[in-house]
Amino acid sequence: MHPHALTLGSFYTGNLIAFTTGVLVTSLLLILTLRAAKLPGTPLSNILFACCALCWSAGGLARTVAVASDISHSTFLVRFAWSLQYVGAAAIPIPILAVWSTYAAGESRQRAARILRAVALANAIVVVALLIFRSAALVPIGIASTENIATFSATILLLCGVALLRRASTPGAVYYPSLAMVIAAIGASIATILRVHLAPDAGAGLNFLGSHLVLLIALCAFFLFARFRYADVFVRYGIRILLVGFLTAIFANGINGVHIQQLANHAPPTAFTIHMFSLVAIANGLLLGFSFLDDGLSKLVNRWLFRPADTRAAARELSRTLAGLETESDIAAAVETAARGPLDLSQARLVSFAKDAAAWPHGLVEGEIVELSINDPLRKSLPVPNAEVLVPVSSDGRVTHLLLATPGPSRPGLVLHDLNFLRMVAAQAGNRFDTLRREQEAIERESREALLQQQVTEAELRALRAQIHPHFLFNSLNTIADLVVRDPVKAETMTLRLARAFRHVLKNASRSLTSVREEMEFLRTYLAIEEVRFSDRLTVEFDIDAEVEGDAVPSLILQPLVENAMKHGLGPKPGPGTLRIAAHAEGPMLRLQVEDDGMGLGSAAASASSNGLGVANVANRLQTLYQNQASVMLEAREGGGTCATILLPRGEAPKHP
Amino acid sequence: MRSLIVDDEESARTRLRRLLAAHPEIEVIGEARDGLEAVRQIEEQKPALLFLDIEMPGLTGFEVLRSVPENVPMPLVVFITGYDEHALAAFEANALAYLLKPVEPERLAHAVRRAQALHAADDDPTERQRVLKVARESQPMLRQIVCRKRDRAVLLPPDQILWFRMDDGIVKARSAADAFWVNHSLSELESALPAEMFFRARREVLVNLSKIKEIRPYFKSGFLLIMADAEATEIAVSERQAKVLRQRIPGL
Repeated sequence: MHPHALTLGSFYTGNLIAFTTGVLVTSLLLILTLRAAKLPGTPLSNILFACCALCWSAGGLARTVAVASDISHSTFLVRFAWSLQYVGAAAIPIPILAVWSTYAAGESRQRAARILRAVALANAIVVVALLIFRSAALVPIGIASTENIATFSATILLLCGVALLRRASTPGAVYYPSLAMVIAAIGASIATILRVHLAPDAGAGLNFLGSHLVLLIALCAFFLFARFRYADVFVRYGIRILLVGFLTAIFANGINGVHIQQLANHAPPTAFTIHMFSLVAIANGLLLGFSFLDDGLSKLVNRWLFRPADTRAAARELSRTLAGLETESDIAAAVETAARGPLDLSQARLVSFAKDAAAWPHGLVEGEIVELSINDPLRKSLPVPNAEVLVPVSSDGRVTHLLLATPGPSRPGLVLHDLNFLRMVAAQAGNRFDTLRREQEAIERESREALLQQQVTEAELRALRAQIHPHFLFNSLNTIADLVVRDPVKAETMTLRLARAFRHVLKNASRSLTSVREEMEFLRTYLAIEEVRFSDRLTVEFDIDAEVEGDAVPSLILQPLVENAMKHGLGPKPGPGTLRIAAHAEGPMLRLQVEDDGMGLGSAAASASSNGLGVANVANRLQTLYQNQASVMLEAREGGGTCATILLPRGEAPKHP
Repeated sequence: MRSLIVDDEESARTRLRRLLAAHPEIEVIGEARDGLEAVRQIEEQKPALLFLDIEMPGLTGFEVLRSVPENVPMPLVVFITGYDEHALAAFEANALAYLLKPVEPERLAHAVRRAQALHAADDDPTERQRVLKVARESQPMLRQIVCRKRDRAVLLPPDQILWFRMDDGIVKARSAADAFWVNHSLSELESALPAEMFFRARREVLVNLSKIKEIRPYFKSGFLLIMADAEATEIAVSERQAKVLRQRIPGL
């Protein structure tokens, strides 16, 4: 039994593991804080903290390795490492106090915080001076004493510092980690006292927990309140490293417990101990490194075996291109190019998809990607030779297009990653089709509305224009020209009537409604002129209810019907004809009628597009003025001739000056 | 120059007659009050010059010109219109004489001089062709058909005619009760009558589709049309036209 060798070995192993772990964690922290320093809002104290922690861990690691390698304590290397470690420990309160002081509330506390920071700085300087002097052997102080001074003063400073924080004015996310950190520091101090003074031999296997893992806990705690950009990355990796370090420690203790004990019974071979340490160190390093390797390895495997194409750039490019495309063929071309590019496809084609063909695989219609086997009969019917993958493109809630893809020689089998890319391309195409359709619908709707508006306006204009055919004017003038010579009195009457008729037309051109009385007055005048022209072949009868005389009617609404009756009904009829115009109330409606005993509907309907046009104009005007409440009807009259009837809702005529 | 005045208004006719009194070289041989009367007078009197109103009851001026038989010499024409933008454009484009109502004496004198010049040039056939061309273009569809029987002529709307058949160089029209002959060629009728109503069953027959009583299969892929007249006349459809008929009537 060689108790000293066992104790020493365990102690070194524990330190080795703890410091290696610590170096890794603190290096990571330093790298991340330096990176974050480029970003705004990162306090300098973060970097200082990382430096201090790295000093402690790196110094400790170097010393442990040196001691384990049987290098004398008195060599410069060991003394330097030792000094580095405790400079780190002594300086650690400085950044922590700096962070805390921002939370110190009140004038007195602020001042106290400033004093504390000054003390911490002085303490660090004293420790550094002591170490330098001791190294130069100027001061007769042992290493253990310096160690103690550094540890205890740091602990006391942190204790004072945390007293600055008030629960009420400090966020919980800062307060509790701070408490944990102080407790860890006290723990570390106690562990140091235990190790150095009280029981150098007892519980050595777990010694590192006291002095080093406490530091690591403090690290994590620190980053819970001193947040910076990569804090999450650090915590993630830090936890990994700690876990692996812990496992390594258990493993190392296991080895110590069984084998070294046995060997140590016979001889204390220093060389073997060293061998053992290096073995443990390598295992330690491998284990720690694995946590990083594992990530890198999976990436490497992915890259070498599957060479996943870089589809992100292509996807971005596609979405940018698609936004500017208007036609289906352009979109298809862009989609084909985008799909072909990163995947090295030999063929890619976007075709429209008709569901009717029963030959399509079921899943395709549901929107799933379908891969065709070599012998699939569908292959022959597709427009792309050897198409292997069919990607459905959905728009408007159904599959409207298919993206056919033939893999190229450099990437004969498309893996999940590639199919996802094709699916994404198809989705983009579908979205674009959707957007395009919506745009087109909007345009069509607009143009339809514009057309409708135009039609309404035109119908109104046409109705106005058709009210008095210019023919009527010129024929009347021709008649007057003849009468002037033959019958001057009649010519005068005719001229006056013509003037009256046209005055009515001009007056009503600008307004839509007039009274039944006025409208009938106009028709009397108009027909009196026609009677002269027809040389008394024409008899006109009026049948107007007295109660409807004040009712509103669309101005000149009957004139086209009267003109029709004259032109197609009575005009072609040889011999005398009768025209009857009536206006009656019929409940809430007003019934206007123009009847003739002329040639009848048969000849009129068969012969005249102009007849239809007259009635259509009347119908258009009624529709515009009364929507569906009014109607016009042309029917054959009993005993020959035609009867045109207008039904419209009764209403009082507007008063015109 | 033997002239005929065609206008439905008495005052227009008397005024034109009075204005023409200033032109002794124009001899007014008659007046017509409507289109049908005009056609009859043209056939009987064979005037050299026509003062022709366009808008008239019955036949329009254009229809009058299209109804003049080919064996009757087409008179020179001076069109008279109250207001017809399309017709005026056609007259201007073809350099035809026209008068606007109320007729101005100066313009009438001009038209008369032009007619005399053409008349002196002895029957310029191109003028007549132009007149017919304008008549066809200005009013492509015939609204009434002048149907003749011995010495009388009647107007029939196209929908009352069951079929037209070319027989010995004469186009005959058949109504429900009677048979007539007309002055139009079958191809002219085919183009001037509603295409949805009339169908060329054979080279020499134009059939009113709405007057077919029955359609029977006939030999290989042909048809036999049974018409709705009292005798239930059968009209065979040529093989080539049977295909057209199948397209016209789905499900045949």
